Amino acid sequence: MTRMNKTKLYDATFERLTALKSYKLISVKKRRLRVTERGFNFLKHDNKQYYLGKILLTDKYRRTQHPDVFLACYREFVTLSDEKRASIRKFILRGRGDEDEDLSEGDSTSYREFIANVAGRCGKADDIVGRICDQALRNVIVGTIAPIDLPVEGLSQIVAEFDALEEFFLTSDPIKADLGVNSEGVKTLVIENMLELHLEDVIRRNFHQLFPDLEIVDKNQHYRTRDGTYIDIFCKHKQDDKYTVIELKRDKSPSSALIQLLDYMNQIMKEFNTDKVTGILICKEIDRRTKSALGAIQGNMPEGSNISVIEFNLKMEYSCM
Amino acid sequence: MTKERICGVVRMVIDFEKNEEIIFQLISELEVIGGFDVPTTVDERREIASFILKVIDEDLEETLVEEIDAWI
Repeated sequence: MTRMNKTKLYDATFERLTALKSYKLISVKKRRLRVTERGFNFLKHDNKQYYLGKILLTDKYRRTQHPDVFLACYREFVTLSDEKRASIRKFILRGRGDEDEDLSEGDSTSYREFIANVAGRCGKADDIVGRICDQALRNVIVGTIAPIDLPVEGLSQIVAEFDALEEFFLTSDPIKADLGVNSEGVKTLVIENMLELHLEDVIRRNFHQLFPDLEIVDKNQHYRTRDGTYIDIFCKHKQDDKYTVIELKRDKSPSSALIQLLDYMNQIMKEFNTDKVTGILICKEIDRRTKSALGAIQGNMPEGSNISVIEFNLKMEYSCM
Repeated sequence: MTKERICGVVRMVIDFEKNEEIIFQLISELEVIGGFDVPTTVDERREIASFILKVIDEDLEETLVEEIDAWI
């Protein structure tokens, strides 16, 4: 084995450790390193660049305070020609070394046009758009790929997934929508890991359409109960003092999700000294055991309390124009 | 069913030797698609994987960051 000099070894280790942790491919707790499920999935995934770009893009989306500008930025970016994208890339990544030398007035002009177009798409002021686009497109993680560097096909697919999710929740009733219908000109889009990270955001942003009788009371952050657990979405009925706990599960709901929901409901009952707490479990599919357990407890809950389950389908179909 | 679930959990906890191998695989894949500022060879990546485990195992991360900061 070659021996690296200390400087290079430290430098390279720092870069790679930062990247592994930033992408949550590994977790480190109490001096114990574990490879996360995401880490295993990354190794198994056929298109690793796409997978990693999607993780980064989704994580950035979750952190931004202006998701509409963020998405408008990428919707605009994927429509650009190769030359324009290269210009934007140079401008955004300026200050990272060699590329500064190539930065021209044309690049600055392309960037200004880009910002103006994004502003037109989302109807926000140029200065806000400029700031969000800078954050959205810039790579902030040491030594790893930024979504701006993804091949445009991969990036377009991610943006289409975002769009499809938005469209789905804005126009469909997820409970009643017939997602199994297929016909000519309709394309199937499979949402995989995106949904786990994205589902909560989409539900929160379209909450009033999905649950017109409820209002969110957790200030858009996971509500921390007195026992130190976190509730995905905590809300309240508009008409009375009934609280509602929403638990999200990306996959088939295991019976443990029902126990988790009951635990949260019980904690809220104690914390707010009320019996009127309802629970909603949103999952891809309810499994037999959960369904059976749900049937057993439904008639035995305190008056004013109940649990409902919303199933949604990860396979969504939408028309491609 | 229960057995499968237990296997699923066990798979997530990796012993030291396998950990080093999987860290090597992860950084190799990142190397290919990410383009790190400090490019490395296969042998160097093995050395880094081993060093990453040492850094975590001996809680040297702060020392590593301090030394990097000092160079900057």
